[in-house]
Amino acid sequence: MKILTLLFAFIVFTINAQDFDIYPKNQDDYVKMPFVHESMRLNEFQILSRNPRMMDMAYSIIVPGYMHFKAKEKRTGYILLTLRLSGYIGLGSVYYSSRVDDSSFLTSTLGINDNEPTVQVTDELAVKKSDLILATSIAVVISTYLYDWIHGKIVLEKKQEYIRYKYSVKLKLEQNNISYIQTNYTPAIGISLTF
Amino acid sequence: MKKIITIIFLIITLNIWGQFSISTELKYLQIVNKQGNIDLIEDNLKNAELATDSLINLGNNSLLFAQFFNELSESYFLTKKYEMSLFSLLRQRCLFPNKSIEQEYEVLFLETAYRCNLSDSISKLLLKESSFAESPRNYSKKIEKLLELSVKVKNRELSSYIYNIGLQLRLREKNIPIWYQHWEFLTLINLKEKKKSQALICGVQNAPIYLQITDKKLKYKVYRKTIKHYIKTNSFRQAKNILQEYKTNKLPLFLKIDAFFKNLRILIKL
Repeated sequence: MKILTLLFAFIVFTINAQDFDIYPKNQDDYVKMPFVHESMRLNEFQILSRNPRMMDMAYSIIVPGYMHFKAKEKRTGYILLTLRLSGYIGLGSVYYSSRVDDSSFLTSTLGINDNEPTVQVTDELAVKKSDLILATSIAVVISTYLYDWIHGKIVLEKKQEYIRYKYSVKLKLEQNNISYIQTNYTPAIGISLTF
Repeated sequence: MKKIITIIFLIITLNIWGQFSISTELKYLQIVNKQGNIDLIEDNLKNAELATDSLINLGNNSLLFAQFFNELSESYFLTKKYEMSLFSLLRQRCLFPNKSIEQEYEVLFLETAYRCNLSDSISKLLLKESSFAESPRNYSKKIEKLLELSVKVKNRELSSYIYNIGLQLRLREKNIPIWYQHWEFLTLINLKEKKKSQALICGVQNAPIYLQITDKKLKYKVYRKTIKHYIKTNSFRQAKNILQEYKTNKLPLFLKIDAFFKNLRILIKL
């Protein structure tokens, strides 16, 4: 226990970073005032300012569907949340059923308890009910986590690409319009400034 | 001197970064429509809709505006939002009429109308009524015509857009058509499109529409929706007044029970 406390204290005192990110943060996002285009919506601005970070990997373990919520994909986020919760319910049910049967969770998961009912998968293969629920629940929990992280990251980056593309093209077109007006002018008196 | 240069530089920069011009929005719509990437097109639709508000507000009949609406319609068509596509074409034909563009998009207009599940007679009526030949000269009258034809599409999704255009009419005109006032009210209380069109047939006078509807079933429905709307928006005194009017009708038993619970809700809140 003492070793663990010392180790924890060592980690706390040696790491002074606010974010356990592998990329260094050279600026404070809260102080920086971005130049937002007039026609940009809040939704677009939020998506652009949300980058997938290492920290989100940990967050999506705690909050199922976190990456999708971050990418403003609420529907998928809630589906993942439901699936992950059902996975946890499955794990919980296996744990409590083992407690009811007076056998430890470990013995039931390792299949030591032979009195359990089985499910016939094929003619030759029969799997214990608790094993099946356990395996399915673990698979659901892990797969929803991976899907949330990988797919959420892709969706967020894709959305950012679309927004960046849209505004880049529009700004270029706008500049072309201005230069067209400047080259096709009508004679008039004015002051020009060159920087 | 430095300050002056900075201010001038800022003004120039701000001008460059100002709201995009319609020609830019139009060119971008053309670029994305040609690419055919549905996600990219959908991403731009909201921005394009924001631009349409200013166009309708300006009301200048220019070729650029007409082209913009047609290109927007194509965007909606590609994303399979046929009602919005038809509505965009209607906006162009009614508010920014142009003979040559009209002929170019005639086939697309009918195709979109059919895809909206409109009958042949209504589709052709919309085409004829929104044509250049039928276009009124006054801009307010043009808006009125657009409202009249858009309501015929009977789509719930269009309601908010029609409502916004109606606000433009309210800014320009003192005398708003009675049918439109009733439509606004029925939209506000969230009545279904099919029922709305049935109710509008009876609403010819300036009095509240629920007093004019002859079909009892529909009349009670409008009453109930109205009371529900006022309870939802915390307008309990108004809800109570209408509920008292509603109770004067010979209501069936289950509607009497419903009215009793509504009354109870109002009494608790008051």
